[in-house]
Amino acid sequence: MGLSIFKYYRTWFVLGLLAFIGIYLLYPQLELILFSLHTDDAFPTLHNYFEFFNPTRTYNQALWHSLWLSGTAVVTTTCLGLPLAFILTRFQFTGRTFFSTLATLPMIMPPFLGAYAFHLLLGKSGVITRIVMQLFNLHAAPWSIEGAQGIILVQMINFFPYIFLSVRGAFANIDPSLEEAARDLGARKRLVMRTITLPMLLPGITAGALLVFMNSMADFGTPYVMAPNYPVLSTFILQQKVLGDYPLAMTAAVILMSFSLLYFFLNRFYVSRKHFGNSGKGVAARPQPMDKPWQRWMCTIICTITFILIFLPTSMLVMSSLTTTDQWTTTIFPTGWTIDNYVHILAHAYDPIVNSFLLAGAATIGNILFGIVVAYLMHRTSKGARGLLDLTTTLPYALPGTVLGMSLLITFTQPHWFTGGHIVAGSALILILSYFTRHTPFVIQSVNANLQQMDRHTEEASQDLGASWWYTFQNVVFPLIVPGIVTGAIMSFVTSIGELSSTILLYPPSWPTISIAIVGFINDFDIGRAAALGVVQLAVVAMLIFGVNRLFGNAVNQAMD
Amino acid sequence: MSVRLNNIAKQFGDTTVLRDLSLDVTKGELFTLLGPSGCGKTTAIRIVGGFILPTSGDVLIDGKNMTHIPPEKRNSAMVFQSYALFPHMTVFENIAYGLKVAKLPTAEINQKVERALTMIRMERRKDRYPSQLSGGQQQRVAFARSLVVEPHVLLLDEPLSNLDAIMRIEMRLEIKRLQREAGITTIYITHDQSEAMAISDRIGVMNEGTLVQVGRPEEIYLYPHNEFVARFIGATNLFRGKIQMDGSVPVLTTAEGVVIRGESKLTHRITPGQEHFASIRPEAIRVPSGEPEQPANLVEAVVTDREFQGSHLQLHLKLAKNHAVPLILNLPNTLDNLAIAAGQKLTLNLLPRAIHFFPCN
Repeated sequence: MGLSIFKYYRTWFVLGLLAFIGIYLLYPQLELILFSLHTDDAFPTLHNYFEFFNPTRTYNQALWHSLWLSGTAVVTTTCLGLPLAFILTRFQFTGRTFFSTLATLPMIMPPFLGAYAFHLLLGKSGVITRIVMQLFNLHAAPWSIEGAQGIILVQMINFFPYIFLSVRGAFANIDPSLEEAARDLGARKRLVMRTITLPMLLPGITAGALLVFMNSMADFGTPYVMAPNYPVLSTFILQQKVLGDYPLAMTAAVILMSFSLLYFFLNRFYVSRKHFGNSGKGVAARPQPMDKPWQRWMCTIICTITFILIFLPTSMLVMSSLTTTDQWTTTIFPTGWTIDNYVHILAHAYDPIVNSFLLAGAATIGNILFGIVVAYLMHRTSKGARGLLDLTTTLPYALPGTVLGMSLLITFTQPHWFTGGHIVAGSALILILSYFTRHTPFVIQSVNANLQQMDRHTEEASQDLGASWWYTFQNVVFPLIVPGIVTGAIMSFVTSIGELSSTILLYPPSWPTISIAIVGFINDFDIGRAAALGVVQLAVVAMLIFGVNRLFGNAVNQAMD
Repeated sequence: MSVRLNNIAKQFGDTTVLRDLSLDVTKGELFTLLGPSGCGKTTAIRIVGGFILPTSGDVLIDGKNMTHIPPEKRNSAMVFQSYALFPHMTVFENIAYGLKVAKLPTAEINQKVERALTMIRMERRKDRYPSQLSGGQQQRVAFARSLVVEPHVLLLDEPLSNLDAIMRIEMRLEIKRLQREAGITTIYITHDQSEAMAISDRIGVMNEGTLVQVGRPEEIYLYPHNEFVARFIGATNLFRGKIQMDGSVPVLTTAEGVVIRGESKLTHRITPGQEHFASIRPEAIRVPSGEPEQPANLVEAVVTDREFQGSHLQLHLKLAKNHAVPLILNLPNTLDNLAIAAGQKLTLNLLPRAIHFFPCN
C-alpha cells in the first residue's frame, strides 16, 4: 500500500527534480552560450569567436597554451604515475602501503597551494634557488619557475594520482592467470607485457590520461599563481572579466566548456565502456618480492622522486608558516621561529575561515538532501529516468570552475522568476549555488553505491512485514546509506573549502573565503600568513578525509570512480 | 610423455603447503589429484606448470629435470580455473596465441586453429570475444588454446568448477573424449570426488599437502586405505573396533558390542587385537524380507529419517543397541521399501563380502 503511494508520486517527483536541475544547474550554461553569441547590435553572431581567433590579436594564445600544457601534463603524469602504479601493484617491499597512500595525497591539495609552495621552493628567492646560488656563487637565480615550466612541474605532481589510481585499478582487474596462461603458451615475460598486460591496461591509461588532460585544461589555481604573464583559458577568462570585456570572457568560457563537454561525452560513451570485465575468480595478482637488482633500483628511484615531490612542498608550507618575513630575508633558512601567523589568522583574521565553513556547510547540506532524493529515485525509477538524472547531475560537475563561475555570474546578475525577482549575484547565495552545483555528484554516487549493494528485495521484505514506505525508508534504507551520505558529504565539503576558480569570479567583497584570503596574502607578499592559512586549510581537509577513510574505507578512491 | 614428481615440498613463509609429494603419471594417462580445498593440489599442479618453484624436490617431464625451467619453456599447457581467456582477443586469436608466439607460418597457424575449432565445435563463433560466450563455450576455447600447441602434458586446474551441474557432466565427457583423441598425458585437479571417479584413469587423493592414496577409481572407492579416504570418497558407514581372525575370516568387535564379520579377502596383514575400521557403503546394506543373503552381520536399527532421492531411497538410522552410532543406507525403490517410515525398526544385513577393513592410525 505504502509502495503504491510512492509509485503514484514518483513520476511527479522525478519531473520536479529534472525541472530543478534544468533551471538551476543547466539553464545558466545555456545563458552563457547565448551570451557569447551576442554583440551590442546583433544576435546570433559568431563575431566574438572571430574576435577571439583573430590572428592579429593575441587572445587565441590562451587556447594554444592550454592545449599545450594539457598535452604535456598527460605525458609527465604518465611518466610518473604509470611506473609508480606498476611497482606498487607488482612488487612487495617495505613502505608499499605508505607510498600507495602518499601517492594520493596531492588530490587533497588545492592546486594553487601546491603552486605557491613550489614558488617558495624554486622561485626567484626560493629556498632551493638560494642554496644553488650560494653553492655556485651566483648573483641571480639560475632558472625561472614563472611561466609554462612552473605550471608543468606543479601539474605533474597535482595530477599524477589520476593516472596512478586508474592504472592501479586496471592492474588490479587483470586476472593474474591471464599472464600465466600467456607464459604457459610459450611467451616470454616481455612479450607477455606487450601482448597481454599493456592491452589490458590501455583503457585504464586512456581514462587516466583524459582525466589529466581535462583537469589540466580546467586548472585555474596553478597558472594563476605560477604564471601571471602566461595566459591560459581559465586565467584569460578572469583577466577579461576584470578588464570588463565580458563578451570575450564568455566566449573563452564557452570554448573551455566545449572541451569539457567533449571530454564528458567521450568518457561516458566510449572510455567507460571499453573496460574489460573481470573474468573468473577475480583474485588480484599478489605482489612479488623483488629479486633482480634493476627492480630494486627502479623502485628506489621512483619512490624517492615521488616522496620528494610530495613531501617538499608541504613541508615548505609548514616551515614558511612558522616564520615571518623579517626573520627570513637574506638567509637560506629562517633565523627564528614563531607561531604569530597562526595566532593572527585564528584570533584576529578568522572571518575567511568562518565564511568558508558556512558556505561549504550550506552547500553540503544542500548536496546531502538533494543527493539522497536523487540517488533514491535513481534506484527506484525506470532506466530512462535514471539515465537522465545521472546525466544532468554529473554534467555541471564536468565543467571547469571558471566556466561555471561565468555562467552563474551572467545568469544571476539579472532578476528571474526562479530567484523570486532577486539578483543573486553579489550575495553569498551565489557561492553556495556554485559549490552546490559543482559537487552534486559526490553524495549521489556514494549513496548510489550503497543502494546498489542493497538486495533489491530488502525493501519489499520490510513492506511485506507490514511496514509503510516511510517507515521502511527510515529504518531499513537510511541506515544502509549513512556511509554513502557521510563519504559524499565530506568530499563535497572539502572540495568546497578549497575551491578557488569559481569563488574568485563570484565572491562578494564581504564574503572572502579561505582561498581568497590566501590569494590576498600571496599578493601582499605576506608569505607567513599565506602559508599558515594554507596549512590550516590543508589540515582541515586532511583531517576530514582521513576521518572518513577510517570510518568507511577510501573516500578519495571512491570519489574517483 | 610421463610426469614424475620426486619428494616435492613447498613452504610459503611458515606454512607448509606440500610435504614430500611423489607421484608418477604415465604416458597418455588422465591422472586426477583429488582433495579438499587447501590440501595443496593447486600448488602441486602449478609446480608442474612451472609457476611455482618447489622448496625442495624435482619435477621430471619425460625423464628430464624441469624443476627450474620457466613455464614458457616447458612443454606443458594449463587450463585455468578461470579459463584465463584473453578478453581483448577473439576466439580465433586466443587459440592462435601460442602458435603465433612460436612464430609458426600463418598458413599453418590458420590450419591448426581451424582444426581445433572443429574439434571443439566452435567454427561459427571464431570471431566472438570471450565475453560473448557462455561458460561452457569459454571452457572449450581454453581447452583448445592449450591443446593446439600440442603440449606434452596437459594441466587442468578445476576446469569445471565454474559451470552449472548439467554443463559439468556434459563437459567432463567432452574433456575425456578430447583427451583420449589427443592421447595426451593429463593432470586433472578437482575437489569433486564424483567428477574424479567419472573422468580419471587413476586418482591420487591428497590431504594436508601429501598423497594419502593412489589408485584406480574403483580401488579408491572400494578399498580406502584410511579413514580420510573412506569418508572423503562417497558416503560410508564406519565401525571402529578391535579386529580378530576367526580362521581366515576377520571379525571386528566394536565397543558397543556390534560384531562385524568380513570375508577372507584382505588388502593387508593384520595383528589380532589391533584397532581397525570396518567400512560398508550405503548401497551394500540389505534389509532382508525373508532369508538374509549372507546370514551374518544382522543388526537392529531404528529409522530416524528417510529421503526419497529419485533413483533410490536413502535411510538414516540409529543402531538399536546404541543410539550414538548413525547409519545410512540406500535402498532400491521397491514398493516395500518405499513403505518404510521414520521410527520403524529394521533388521539390517551388512553383507560380509562388501565389508572393507583398514587400520586406524
